Amino acid sequence: MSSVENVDVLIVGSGPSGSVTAHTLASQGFSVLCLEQGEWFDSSDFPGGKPEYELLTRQLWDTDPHLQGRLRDYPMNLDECDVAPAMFSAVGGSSVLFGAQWMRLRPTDFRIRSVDGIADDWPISYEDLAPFYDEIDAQIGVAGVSGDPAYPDHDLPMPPHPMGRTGVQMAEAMNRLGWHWWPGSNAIPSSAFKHMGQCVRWGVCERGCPAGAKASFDIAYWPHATKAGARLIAGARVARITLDSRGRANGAIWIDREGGEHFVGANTVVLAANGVGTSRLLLMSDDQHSDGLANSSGLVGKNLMMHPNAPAIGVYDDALQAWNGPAGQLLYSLEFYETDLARGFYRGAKWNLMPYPGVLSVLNLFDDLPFEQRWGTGLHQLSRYAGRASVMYANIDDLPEETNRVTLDPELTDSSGLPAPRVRYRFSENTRRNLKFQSDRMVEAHEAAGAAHVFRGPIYPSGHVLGTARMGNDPATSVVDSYGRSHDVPNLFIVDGSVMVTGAAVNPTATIAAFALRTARHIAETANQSAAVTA
Amino acid sequence: MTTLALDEREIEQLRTVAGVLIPGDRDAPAAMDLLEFDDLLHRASSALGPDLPALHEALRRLPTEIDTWALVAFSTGEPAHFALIGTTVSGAYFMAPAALTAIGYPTGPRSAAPFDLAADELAGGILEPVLERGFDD
Repeated sequence: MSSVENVDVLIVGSGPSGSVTAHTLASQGFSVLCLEQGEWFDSSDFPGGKPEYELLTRQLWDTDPHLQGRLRDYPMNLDECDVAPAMFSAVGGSSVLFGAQWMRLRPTDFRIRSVDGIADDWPISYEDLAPFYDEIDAQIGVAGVSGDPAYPDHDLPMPPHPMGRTGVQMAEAMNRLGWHWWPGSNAIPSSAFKHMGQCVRWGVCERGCPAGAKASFDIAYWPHATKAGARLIAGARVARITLDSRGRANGAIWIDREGGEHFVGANTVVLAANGVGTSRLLLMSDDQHSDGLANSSGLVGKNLMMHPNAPAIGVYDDALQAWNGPAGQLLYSLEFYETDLARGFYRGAKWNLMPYPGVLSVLNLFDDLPFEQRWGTGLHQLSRYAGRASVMYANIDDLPEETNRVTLDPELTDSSGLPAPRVRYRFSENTRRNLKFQSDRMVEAHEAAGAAHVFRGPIYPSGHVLGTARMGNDPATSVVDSYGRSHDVPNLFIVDGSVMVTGAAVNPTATIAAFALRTARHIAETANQSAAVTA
Repeated sequence: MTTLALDEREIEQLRTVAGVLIPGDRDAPAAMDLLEFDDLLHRASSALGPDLPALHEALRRLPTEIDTWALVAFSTGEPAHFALIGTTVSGAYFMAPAALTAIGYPTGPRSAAPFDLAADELAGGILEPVLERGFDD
């Protein structure tokens, strides 16, 4: 094993939370090293601008890492999963494939114990995070329309993208129904911005932007982090966090692409490897703790939330030009977001309308038709629906349950021989009722907008993996404190979605990034007082 | 030199299937009339990635005599194999600019939205009902 160096701060994972942490601390003079198991990707690598785009997304560019077939990903045992986690190992993390739908939690999301009498309140409030939301928005060029009555006042730094005919038609329908909607807010600058290009509306954001116009964190943050002095090693798979004799984290052992082992020493360790990867790493780092590192509460890996995502696809006779992005969200709705017990369940969902580009994707909607209607001249008739379809997704506010959890599989390993995560995630009855209700309402929305056909799609793989190292003030009922600091290991921090106490129903990346920024500032501010970092 | 994903016999099988599944109509060309169709079949099959062995297997199981009735029976008896073959030929077909143009689908590079489009969409007061309703927690 080779010893590389000692740094002030070691970060595991280079996605949104890792990159924000790296930039923030490097900018304040700390020596920062980030280890990322994935690779760098360039916009020319992505499939969206290629003629065979739809075929490439079947497997090579699917959101399911099992189908991508790349050694950099770790396998997962999903035998007990109702929905597959979607991940992408790369510099920038899963934001390389995210939809960039940029949403803040609502103030009520931080206190649903107080509001609804269920789950737990967060130890922080919307007001605590608001300035950090603002700062991240400005850094990455969030585009949208300010003034949504569902939120406290806040400005968005860039003007919105057009909703297009697809969005306007649905917005008019939502107005007729009397339902809330708002033009989409997206982490896609509406004009060229810093290291990001001009959006040309490919509409394929969730498979990587071919124009480099989306604020995935490889281009939205890493250029700034490296300029500030942060260093990043790609292809570096962390095997475990190491501890000194006092039980403080003192570095990590990582494995390179050729299987060589390395040690890097650190005064502070920050985990940013998502709700599956972070808990897996804690459970693997058990030299002095039989139940895993930072796990005196027994909650590491538990309370997994994944926002099961129910789609309803509308196919229209109107020429919607639905190949136009961003995708991204054209509009969103919080009409059925808060609890109304008359519906038979707690909490609700956030909806977002997206274009449904491609020809094969539309044809596949009609796979159940008889052969003579699906093929031959029937194929030409159906293919004319291409560009005339949109999809409404309901992002379900699933609630924390300890039985939904990440553990280590006793047999399955990754390509380095490390234990693979075993993910158990089952829908609760509350989630099932929520899914059914939202699906029915989304069908009504498409019908109100004039859809010729409406299809209910299968639950979409989820990139929102949350809650497995929850924050709280009580070490008996939480893994980290309100700044992401481990209750057990005072120089170990967690900044990814693992810390979320409840999942809310909005896309979580804005909250994860804001929390990481707040934590990084806290690490810097308290470095001298606590000796958590000896810069 | 690039290794082709399919051999000549397999390409011929797919061409024959495409002749049945994708004839021309008043506006759209038949798959067999596309000069570049063989190249597109190679490109489509390469894009299948880990699914490529399944395509080889599906083609091995395809009936020797291919006509409409044989494909109807194949689609019923071996739906997964038929679906993969159907996806490959239709995926190749809809890579052709002539096929996309026939259905009004854009080809080639894309362009940015018109500068004022987003503002124009909102200028007519479409958001006023939302603002008037407000939002109840």
